[in-house]
Amino acid sequence: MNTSKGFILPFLISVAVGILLSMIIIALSGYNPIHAMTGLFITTFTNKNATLNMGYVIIGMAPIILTGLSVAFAFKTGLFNIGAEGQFLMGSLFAVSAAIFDFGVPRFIHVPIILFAAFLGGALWGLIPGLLKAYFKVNEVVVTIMLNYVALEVLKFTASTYLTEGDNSTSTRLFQETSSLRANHLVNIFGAQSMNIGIYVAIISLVLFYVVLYKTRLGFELRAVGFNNEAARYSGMSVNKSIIISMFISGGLAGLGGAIYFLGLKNSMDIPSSFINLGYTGITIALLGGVASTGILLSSLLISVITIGKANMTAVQFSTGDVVNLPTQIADIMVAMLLLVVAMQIGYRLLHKVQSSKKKPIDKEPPKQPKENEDSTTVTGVV
Amino acid sequence: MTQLLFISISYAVPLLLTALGGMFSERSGIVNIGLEGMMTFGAFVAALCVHQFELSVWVSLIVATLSTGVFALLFAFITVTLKSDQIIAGTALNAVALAAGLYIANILTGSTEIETKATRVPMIGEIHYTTIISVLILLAAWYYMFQTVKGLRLRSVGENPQAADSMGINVYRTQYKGVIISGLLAGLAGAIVVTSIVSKFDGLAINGRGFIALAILIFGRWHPLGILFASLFFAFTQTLGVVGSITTTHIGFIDHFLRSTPKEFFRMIPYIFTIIALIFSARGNYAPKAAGQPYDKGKR
Repeated sequence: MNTSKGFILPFLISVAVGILLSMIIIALSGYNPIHAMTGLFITTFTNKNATLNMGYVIIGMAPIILTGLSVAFAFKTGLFNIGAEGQFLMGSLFAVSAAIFDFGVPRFIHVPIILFAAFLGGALWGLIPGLLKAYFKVNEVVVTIMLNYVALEVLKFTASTYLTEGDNSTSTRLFQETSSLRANHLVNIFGAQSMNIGIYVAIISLVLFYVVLYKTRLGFELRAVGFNNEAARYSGMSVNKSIIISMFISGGLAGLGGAIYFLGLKNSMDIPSSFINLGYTGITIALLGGVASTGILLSSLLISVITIGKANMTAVQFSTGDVVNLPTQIADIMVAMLLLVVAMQIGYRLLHKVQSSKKKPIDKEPPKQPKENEDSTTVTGVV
Repeated sequence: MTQLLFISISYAVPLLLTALGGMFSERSGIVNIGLEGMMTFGAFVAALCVHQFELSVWVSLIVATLSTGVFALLFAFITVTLKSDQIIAGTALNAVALAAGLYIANILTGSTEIETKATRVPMIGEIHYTTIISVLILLAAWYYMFQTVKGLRLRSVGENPQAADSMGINVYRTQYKGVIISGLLAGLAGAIVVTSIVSKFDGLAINGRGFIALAILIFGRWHPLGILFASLFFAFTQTLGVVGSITTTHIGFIDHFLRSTPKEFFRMIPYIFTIIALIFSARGNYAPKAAGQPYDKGKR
């Protein structure tokens, strides 16, 4: 079945409603919403920094595609992984450790080691709620929230104790030269010095996400458990095994995101004092994208554009002679509005209304569940 | 040492209030991940009141409490009326509250930080007035929940909404009530945070307190007394995480322990303990049975 059909209409409706709400908020706070939106979506890609901005959008997409995939993968098995943030941080801790350590190997071996370490770090952190869910029936939502905070403290302690040069340093030792994720051909195209291989890692993960879930026996079992775990159990599948595997892979994907984020931009890690929030953004990405691979790609593109282009919303205000800036927090407002729209399931609701109003009035039969829900899971269907 | 105790108590108050709020929501069947956002909203409104509108601390607390109650209506609308997923709704509420707080703060004051240093909750000796109020709220919550018919009805909705409905209880209205009460209490708690613990509202003013309150709710087994002890205990570990390394008790081994233990360790304790508590209570009968499932009248 084609996964890209079920989500696209709800996605477009959600995005439209989310942007409309944001525009209303911009108007209410005394700014011109049309200017803000043209600034965001047009100026960003037409001004003299256009190619540079495209580069930054691509850089920004990589980690959130991965955290989005992380949330989506667990979702497919009926698990709500709010812990992508923690797994992201644990992955970054493993990756940074591997990047600092001198293996004495060339770059084409060192980088895979780092990525493997990142996957492992996130996966092990994701394994905890997986095991607890499988063997003790502990709800994964609360455990993953709690583990996010534990991960943050573990990262802060480990990095500041073992990975720094001096006592009071807020950043780690420099990464090995061989650990660089820099992609020179991309730097040449876009001009942004921090262009890195992250986007390739993300795209490969995106393809693997689709292939594993839809073209393999394992993926079939994972989805079957997510769709109806009683039925899956009855037909001889191991629900516990599926939960554990799903959380392991889900955590690993978020961990990869952490590696890309911290190693792609700088040559040492600024030890975070609070959450990076890209794991939480993954929830928005996964849900907005209808938990489908193409949807995740599109929603991460949208959110990356909002994050990168937010400065241009204020630039346009300048050009109209308006001195007061639209605060850059408008980007957070827009992302929050998109999540709110998804939480209200406005996309599916409106679509459903349109579909049922097309039917003849005498048709009193309850409207059938749209078939595409099997693939692009509706939000309530799984949790 | 006594200093440590008093700080712990002032840290415990917002956690206690928020967890009590969460109890009302979850006992009526609505899992409330949005407590963090509700606290953030209350903290933001209170900070705005004292700094921008120069209201007195009591008026600010009341305004923050009531407006968070209204804010909670949004959550109730999504979860009860629209029957959407409660976890997603809570996550969205957290994001909306924080973004809105910082955005509006920036629009009105030109900065994402709102100072609240000048206006503090008055104290009797070492105890804030709000501490006394919160103890009264605790007693009232216990009385309402376990000694009145209304409390019984609210709990029955969280246990078995179908049965409650068939007995003539309005499930939707009860759930709205539970969520609004959780908003009122979490809003008050957030307001107390910025007027008695931290000195400004910014992106880190609440910093996970709402999630600790959620942990307390679970650790305290959805019961006011359990919530009281859990919040005192978690507040104590939180305090150790902040001031533990500069506290002197003059008891050799305790001082040594406080010096040698990294502060991150103390900060982890609430979360780790909650996970352990969840493991032990997962098969128990403590959580409201119907919490998390949207109630659909048609499926009765």
